Amino acid sequence: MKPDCSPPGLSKAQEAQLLSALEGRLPEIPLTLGYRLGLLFVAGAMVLLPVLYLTLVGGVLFGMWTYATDYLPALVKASSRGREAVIFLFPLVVAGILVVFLVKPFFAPPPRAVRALRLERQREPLLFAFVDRLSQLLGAPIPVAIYLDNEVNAAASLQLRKGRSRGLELTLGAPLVAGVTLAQLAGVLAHELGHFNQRAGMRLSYFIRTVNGWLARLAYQRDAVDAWLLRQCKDPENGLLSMATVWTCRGLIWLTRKILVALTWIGHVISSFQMRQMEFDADRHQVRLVGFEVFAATMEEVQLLAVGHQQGLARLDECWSDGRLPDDLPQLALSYRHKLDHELVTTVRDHLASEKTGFFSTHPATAQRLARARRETGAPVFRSQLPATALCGDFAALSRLVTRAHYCSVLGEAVRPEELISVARTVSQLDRSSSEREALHRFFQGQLGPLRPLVLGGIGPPATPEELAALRDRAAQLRSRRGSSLETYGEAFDALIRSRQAEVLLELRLRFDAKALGLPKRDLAAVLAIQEDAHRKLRTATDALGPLEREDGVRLTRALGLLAVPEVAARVDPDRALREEVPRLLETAILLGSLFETGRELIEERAVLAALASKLEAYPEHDELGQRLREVIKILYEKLAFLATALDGVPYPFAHSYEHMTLADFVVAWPQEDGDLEQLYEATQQTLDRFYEVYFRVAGRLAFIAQQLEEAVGLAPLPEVEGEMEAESRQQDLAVADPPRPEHLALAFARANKGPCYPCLPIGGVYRGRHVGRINSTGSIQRPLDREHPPCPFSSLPASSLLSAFASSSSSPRGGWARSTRRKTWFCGNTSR
Amino acid sequence: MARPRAPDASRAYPEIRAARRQFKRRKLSRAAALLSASRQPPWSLRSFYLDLLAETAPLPVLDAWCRHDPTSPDAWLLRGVRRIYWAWEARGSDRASTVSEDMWQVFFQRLHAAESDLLWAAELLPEDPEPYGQRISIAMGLGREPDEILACLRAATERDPESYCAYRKAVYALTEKWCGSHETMFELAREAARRATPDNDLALVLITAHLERWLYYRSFDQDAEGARQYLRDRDVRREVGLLYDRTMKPSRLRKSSQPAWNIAAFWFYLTHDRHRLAFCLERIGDAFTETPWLFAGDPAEAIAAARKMVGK
Repeated sequence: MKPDCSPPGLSKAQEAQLLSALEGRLPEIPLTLGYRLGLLFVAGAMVLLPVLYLTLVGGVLFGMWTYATDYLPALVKASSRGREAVIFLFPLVVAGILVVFLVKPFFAPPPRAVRALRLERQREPLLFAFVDRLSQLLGAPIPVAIYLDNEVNAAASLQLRKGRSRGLELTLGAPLVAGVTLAQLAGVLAHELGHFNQRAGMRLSYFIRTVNGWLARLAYQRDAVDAWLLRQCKDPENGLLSMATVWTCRGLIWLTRKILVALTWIGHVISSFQMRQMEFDADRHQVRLVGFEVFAATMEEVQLLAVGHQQGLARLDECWSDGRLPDDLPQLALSYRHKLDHELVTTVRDHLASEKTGFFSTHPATAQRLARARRETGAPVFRSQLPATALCGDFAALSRLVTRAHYCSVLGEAVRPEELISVARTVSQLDRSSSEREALHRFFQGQLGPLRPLVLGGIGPPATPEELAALRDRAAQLRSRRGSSLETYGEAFDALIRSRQAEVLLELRLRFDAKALGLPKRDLAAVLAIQEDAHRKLRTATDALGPLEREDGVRLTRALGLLAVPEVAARVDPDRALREEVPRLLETAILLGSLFETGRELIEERAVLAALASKLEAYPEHDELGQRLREVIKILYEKLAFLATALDGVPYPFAHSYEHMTLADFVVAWPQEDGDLEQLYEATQQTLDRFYEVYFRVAGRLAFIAQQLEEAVGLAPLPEVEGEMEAESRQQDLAVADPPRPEHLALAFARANKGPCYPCLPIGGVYRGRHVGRINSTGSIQRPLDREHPPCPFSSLPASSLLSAFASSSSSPRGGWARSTRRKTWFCGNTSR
Repeated sequence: MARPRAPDASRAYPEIRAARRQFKRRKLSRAAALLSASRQPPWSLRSFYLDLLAETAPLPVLDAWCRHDPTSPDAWLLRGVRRIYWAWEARGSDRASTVSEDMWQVFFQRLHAAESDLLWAAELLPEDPEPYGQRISIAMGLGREPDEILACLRAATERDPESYCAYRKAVYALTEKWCGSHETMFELAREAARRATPDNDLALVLITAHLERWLYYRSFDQDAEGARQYLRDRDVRREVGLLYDRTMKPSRLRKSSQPAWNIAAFWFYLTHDRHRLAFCLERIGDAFTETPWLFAGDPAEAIAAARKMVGK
């Protein structure tokens, strides 16, 4: 059932009717003795876990005291020399440090969650009245506040301050409200409020969840002390005693963490069974209110909405490239949910039907929940076919506000009204961009490599269909002949990059892990041999690829030449827009293609920068390293400046929110502060990303137009090729359809937070990936956990004076398009709830 | 003799002092509480807090606040105002001709960023006049047309017809040296003066305009004699005197007005009007501000001289 999202503008009578359906009080669901005992047992165990931890701290303190009073005086007395006596103090020092680290996690501040939009009772009277009535009906406390966020989820949470309850807070996900019926939303709310309808149960479950979360935070959260110790361990300048102390501290931290991890797991295991029972219990409230049919439909709809929401979010980067963002994310989620193809919907349904409850799951599997829910036999209390948005005065306005708040949180900057576009326009642009990407892939049969441009001239003379067919045949023959040259080219380039990194490190006599660079050993001769081999392979692959690239270029330009044929142009380009656009795009493609060599050099030098900078911390006083870094920085600035000059004044070929955007402004990113290595590294990464992005977008647009022109003269498009793009897209869809269990996500999230969590480039590689979040069974988005980010070479760079020394080596012109449109992680999974 | 302390209005207010101390510890819960409590009329209190807090609020902490609480109008408003200061830190207070091209770019970028924050703050709390008032400074910095400045002023005064902050900024923006002329400046200042009552600070807007005119003689026309004559001009003195008697003298002491009274005090100091100066200094208490006293050279010495003039 697709709800109508337009606000229906309920009359007073309709509102009264709606609220009157929620009058009275549902009979309480009796709690079994087993349930009560279970809850008490789990809560008791949860008390014991921190007590156990504190006992451990007490034990260490007692040991210290015993050692200091009973053994130390005797040992000191027995030692003949004063210096020996100092050694006997060592256990006390170690134990003292251990106590500090055992106690330290108690004072670590919790990570701050992003706050949602707080709704006001005066502005949303119907929503508040509805929730109030529903709470009374279920015997749950009336929420003191209602928030709206951008997740396909709803959550109720008890707020405590200084041990006293501040009341229940309800958070509604705007995409959820946008996508479900009022009955479905009422069911979801009944589930959430149902968790709180028994006072004792409410407090106990709150306590259980809090202790679980707290232990997980203690076990996995890292702080400045950890980072400092890690840096000290890597510092070769530290003397033996310092190193011993630092390593002892790290060992002790490791030990305390392991103890906490063990306690976390114990807590998790103990509580998960009871948590599942609580979910069944909350489901019963939902079913009694809205009936089994609506319950089952909600379970499915929430999943599908979450998939739609994720698909929308996953493509925001594309919009942001043009400085634009959709003005209504919940509406975008709904659009994508309605666009889900049958195959994916079936996959989601199959998954829901087949998933099994894991031993550590806090939520039962959907099939199991459905089976239990079916046992409720009573007639539903609340029925409504209205959309859930009917509860809000102006849901569209709220939804837009939530959307902008989400962007503000992700970007850290306020999005301007001119940067926002309607959802319909967003979807149409994204669809067009998908079609163009597909056309690019299809036109060249998946043979376009990321490091090699098309060989293009101006628009060719119009070709006859026969000539185009002959060009296709020739290209097909060349394609079959070129074998694996494209892959060889990529591998050889990769080998070249790695060997360049190894070469500079060897020249400076710096230690490094040869295996990490894919090298057999740390030997300059071997590295040079690899380099020579890579160059040879690159030449061979270039020779093999050249004819095909030229042929493909000719085929493209001859097809585009058809625009000069009035009959064809009248069919494909009735408003003559393409006749203006194509020469401009072709010119841009030729210009960008001529800069591919600079792009490759930039990749190479950036890799060298990464290799050198990763050694800065270990060798802060290494003069040659500093000198070499200065040289690389200078080269990088020169390359960036070269690109900026070459692209200066060339208009950006697509519509952009900043109307005077040039290719130079779009492509070239400069570090904000001169001499900041990390920023320079990021800037070169962004420049490369943007360079290839705009090139392939232009090529895609040209291929799309060429394909349309070919079709206009009776040539069917070339067959689809199952390539990397399809495989990646399929993999993403499957990832969506196979959501991991939330408790595993929570733990993995915590674990993932151990290290730097921002996207980093693998040394020598171009970062082209995009964060793809995942959804949990309640539909909230989580950051990707299954993708290991390689360690950032600058993750632990000190803000040393050495860095500022580079300031003089460069100049960084700034201006024009000032706002950073760097790739963002658009998923704001709020882990606090 | 010990050199007098540099003026700092925040010294007069324990809550501002506490918030500023917290800034040093990279925290801003006190500032957040002050701004949250001022989300209602009289808006002059919000303006007062903003002016005193934004100057020293640490930007990284404000960035974190904005990310963490993207629907808080206070977070975006405070950062917007802070970013205006930040923009001026890049530009400096020298004449435009001495500012380098790079620094202009940075100045403009920061003002644009501040404007985005203020636009969003205005959407989050539509009844708040403050974002519109602050945008006047941005329009001025970006050299926009007077119409845009007046549009911001109208938007602010629709929300608070007695917005001293908006009028003051608009009068300053419409000075000859910025986006307007002496005529447009006085036209607007007199409009504010007509609205002045003992319950608001709008009288100070006209005094600001006279001070700006005096400064123009002195700094731009390089006409020291003209500047002196201006201070002696009977019409000018009479206009200010009448306004003072009608609106300022019968006014009650308001905390949020204290820093603004420095303008009146400075004017009466310049015009050697001891009686009125004494009253103004009494009203200011310890809430001395650097501007406008710095126009007389060292602000601390100028304040000391003013005090001496009235025998304090």
